[in-house]
Amino acid sequence: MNTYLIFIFKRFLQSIPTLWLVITISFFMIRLAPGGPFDMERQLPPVVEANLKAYYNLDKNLFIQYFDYLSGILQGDFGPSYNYRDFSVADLILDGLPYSAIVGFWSLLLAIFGGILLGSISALYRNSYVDYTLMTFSMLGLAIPNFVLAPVLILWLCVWNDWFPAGGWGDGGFANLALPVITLGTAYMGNIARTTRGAMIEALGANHIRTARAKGLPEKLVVWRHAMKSAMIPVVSYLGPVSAGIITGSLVIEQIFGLPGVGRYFVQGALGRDYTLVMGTVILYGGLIIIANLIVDIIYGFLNPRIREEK
Amino acid sequence: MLKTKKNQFDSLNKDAIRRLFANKASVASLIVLSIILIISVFGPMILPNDLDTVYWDYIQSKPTTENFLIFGTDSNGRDLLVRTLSGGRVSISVAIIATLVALVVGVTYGAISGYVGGRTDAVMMRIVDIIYAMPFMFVVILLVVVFGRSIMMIYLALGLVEWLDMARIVRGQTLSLKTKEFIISANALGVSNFSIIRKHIIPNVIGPVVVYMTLTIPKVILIESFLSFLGLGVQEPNTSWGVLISEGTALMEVAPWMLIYPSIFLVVCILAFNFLGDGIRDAFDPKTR
Amino acid sequence: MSNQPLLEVKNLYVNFKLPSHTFNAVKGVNFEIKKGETLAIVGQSGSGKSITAMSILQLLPYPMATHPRGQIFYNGQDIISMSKKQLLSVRGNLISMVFQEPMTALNPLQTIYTQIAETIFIHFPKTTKKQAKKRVIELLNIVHLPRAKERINSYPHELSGGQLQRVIIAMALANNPELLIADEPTTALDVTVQQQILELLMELQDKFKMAILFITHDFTVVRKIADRVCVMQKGKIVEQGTTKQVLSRPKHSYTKLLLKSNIRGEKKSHNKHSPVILDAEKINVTFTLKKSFFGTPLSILQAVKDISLSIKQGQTIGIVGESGSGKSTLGKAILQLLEKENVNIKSLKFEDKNIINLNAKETKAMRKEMQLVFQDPFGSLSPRMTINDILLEGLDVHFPKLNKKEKYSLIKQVIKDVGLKLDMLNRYPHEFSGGQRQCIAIARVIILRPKFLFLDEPTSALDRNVQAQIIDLLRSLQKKYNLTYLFISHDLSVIKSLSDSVIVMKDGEVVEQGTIKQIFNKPKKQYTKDLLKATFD
Repeated sequence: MNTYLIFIFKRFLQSIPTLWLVITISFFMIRLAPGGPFDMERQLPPVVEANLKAYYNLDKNLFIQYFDYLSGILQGDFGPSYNYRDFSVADLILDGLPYSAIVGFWSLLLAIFGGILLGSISALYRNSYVDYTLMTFSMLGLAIPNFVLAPVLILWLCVWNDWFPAGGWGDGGFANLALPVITLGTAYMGNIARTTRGAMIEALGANHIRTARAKGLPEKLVVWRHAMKSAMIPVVSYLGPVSAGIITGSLVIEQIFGLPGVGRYFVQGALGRDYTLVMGTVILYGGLIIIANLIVDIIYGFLNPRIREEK
Repeated sequence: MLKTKKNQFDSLNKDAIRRLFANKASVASLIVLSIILIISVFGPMILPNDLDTVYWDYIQSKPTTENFLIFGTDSNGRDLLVRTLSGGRVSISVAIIATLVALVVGVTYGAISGYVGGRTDAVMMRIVDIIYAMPFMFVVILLVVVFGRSIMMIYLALGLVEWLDMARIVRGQTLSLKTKEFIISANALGVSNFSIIRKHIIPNVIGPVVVYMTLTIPKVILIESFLSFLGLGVQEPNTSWGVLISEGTALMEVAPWMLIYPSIFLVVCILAFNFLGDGIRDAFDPKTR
Repeated sequence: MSNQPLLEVKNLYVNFKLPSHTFNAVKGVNFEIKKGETLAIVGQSGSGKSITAMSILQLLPYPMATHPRGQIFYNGQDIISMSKKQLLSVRGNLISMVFQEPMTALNPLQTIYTQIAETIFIHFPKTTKKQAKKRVIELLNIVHLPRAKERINSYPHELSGGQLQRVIIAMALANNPELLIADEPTTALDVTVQQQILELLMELQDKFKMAILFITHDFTVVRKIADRVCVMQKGKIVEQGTTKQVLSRPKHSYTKLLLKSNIRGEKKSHNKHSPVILDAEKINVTFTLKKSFFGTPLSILQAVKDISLSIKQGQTIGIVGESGSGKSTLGKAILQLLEKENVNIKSLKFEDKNIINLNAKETKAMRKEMQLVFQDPFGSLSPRMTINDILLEGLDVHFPKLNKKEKYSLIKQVIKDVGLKLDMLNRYPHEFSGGQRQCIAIARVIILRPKFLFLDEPTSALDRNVQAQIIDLLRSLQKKYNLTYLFISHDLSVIKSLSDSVIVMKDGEVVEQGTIKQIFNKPKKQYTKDLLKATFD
């Protein structure tokens, strides 16, 4: 147990410099971009612009701005938004976060459980019609990008048939969430299904599976008790990219379905050179991905005891 | 004097190729991809309309056989067929070049890291781990925002994202090869490290690398389309499938053909690459069927 | 008491549906097993014996595998046409099976208690936990697993191969089966352990009046354990009868061939006055298994402890020992193929010249004179190089100045030496059999005209009759090129036929050493005697 805890602790420590790196790189990169936060508006008289810049400390030396920013973060202050002048970045992000989180959560759930279920069934009925159908479906899922699936689904289910609302959050109920969640989740469901199938087939080929069958164990229990855990290992290690993908995909999905999440702030912020807003969203996303990877490592270490003892 | 046929195909590879061609899905995919490739390259040359020819009388019009506007036109009155095919050129070429970049960087990095081993390997892999943990898509988006929307930038950014996985795979393969007895035998024979990497390691690593490459190409196409969809891709008047789909999405209720045709091309292309990649993997390693 | 056979296999056929063709693995096999008797099925790899055994409990990969014809009667009921439910009640309950590789036969993530108890719970779900625990300990004691009570919560990787096999046998016995099928259960184990397991099985059979179906390729095992024997070749039974009959008066030509492929011959003793070619003092090899966070070694394994040896030119020293004895490591240390940090040698001289800590040029020169052949013919040849390239590789390193014609004539010569044909040069390793590949591996080193050859179990992965051929080849090459051999094996019969002196190793140390005559006729240490008994009984 001790090695496991040490392993978790080490991984946690390793995440911190990564997050710092992300923040630093983004900070300097966004400021490298030509143009500034006030260019989007009508031409401002230079005096006003200079005043604005001084107000936001944009005239100070870049490194001073950097350290100011870092110390601000540690106190929970992500600065004011330059484009949405009446709001602080923290306000905006917290405002949009619940919507993004809910959609993201359900998509992840769909992808993981749907994928594992489909993949396991395929593996059990290997090379049968069930297998071929499920795998073709998975293949389609991962080949169709979410920004293609979304409009196509909207066209079919909302415009041509009035079965679902075409967008907007509404009351956050099934009708409004169903399409965004399906579009976000299916690509990864397809991928997880294929990975699970492969891993399950390999796990079922192991010698100890033969022993379990020879004992008279019915096939369902053979899979559940003896194959599942080792089959999950490659699937779990794939969950990191899946989480990152869903988070990335949310940018587009929120845009298409008009959901008031955090995604639009990132894109608008980048295009509008709203430095603090961009930074805020980057830290949020980066942090989420790093946490997701950490959780994946923890689960992986649990499933695969040998990895904890790596030199 | 017995001549060694140096250019004779490695019969292990011949077996694999035979298996590949027996797989119907792979063969179908190869055919489909070839067709797409050919019409994307030669189509715009043959067709009468240009990428940016404007038909003032046919703004956003449905598909029609007049003036060869088989796929209809976009909101600027431009021939969608030609634009789709030109978009294909961009999307596919970006994917292939980016993948090659990833290939060269990844294979070299991975082989050296795996073969040299020890401290060097630990450090090299740690670097990969750190980069891997970063939310790369966001850095790419920032990169493109910062440095503008040039084709070069996109190739570079995409290649840089994909080399990590390639390096990891090659390193893993190299590690498991290192312990195989034919490597130890070569050592015992007195063969130099460089020769061992060249003659024994690299030829045995090629299998998984080819499979991975074929599966990376559709991934890159997806990413490029994604960027283009967000408005961060190629610039006017050049276009790619992502741009076309973005334009189509905005107008899908009134001009669904603008969405549908480029989407079909994109999806079919990605599907074909995936089936092909699967087929290649099964051909080289039939155990996992 | 009716003498109806317990198991009756009638006209059994097994086919495998492969993508390109159908493979007929078993073609009309007939045999029966009576209550309490031991039947052995013996044959080489590919004979179909394992497939036949697996058919009994229907463990083959159906639907790829099929039984176009035939029946398997257990107590009068046909297993092949049984319902799934009935089949499940037979497996692990009335008929149990034990497989070849104990190290991978158990779920690595569950304790051995859980896995043995599972067998009980499947067939007797009303058993309480307390009863199950009691029964598991009882079973482990029956198979003589030491410290059973403590061990029940161990994981498989904490036990040795022999111990695991005992656990697996215990698991198979859990519900007092009438028939135990053992598919080469001792092949992957050391010789002394094999002897113990066989004795265990015989004891169990005696105690529980269990019938045993024993699959093996080894006639020595048949002689020790079986009442009756079937000989299989290419899917058919070519001869069957009582062990006594078949082994002493075989009728079929194939049986005769198998029985005759005993290794024969001996080495002519070498010239006592030839010079010492290799002299090693105090070889020590240590491996660090676990390091602390700061790099200090936490647990170490001393693979080789203070061994010295001296070999004269033309001599063959055989090192015999079981797995973990350190014999391979010793050889690799002498050939300087291990990481320097693990090896500590006081002095190592080849032809009276020091060979430790040489520079690159001197190392290369040394490599020409001291070569090695590995155990595994499948792994030691680079899969993507032609035979010609494989043979050329060494030549290019050590004789770069030769022109193409000269190299070709050397290749021609060595191909002839090892008994292969010239048209094989353009082919790839996977197109050849294990024995042929080993010949190629031998050719690869002989072509360099080394003086000293280290052979690490060169025949262990091969079928018996092929082993005999390779040994004959090695003997003739030694004579022709005046080679010195350091030969490693776990198989005493192989050692006997090739060596003049023997070193017996256990746990990194020398147990006993001497000439062939001394060791084989007048062994002093108990371990040596155990080894001899297990091999030649």
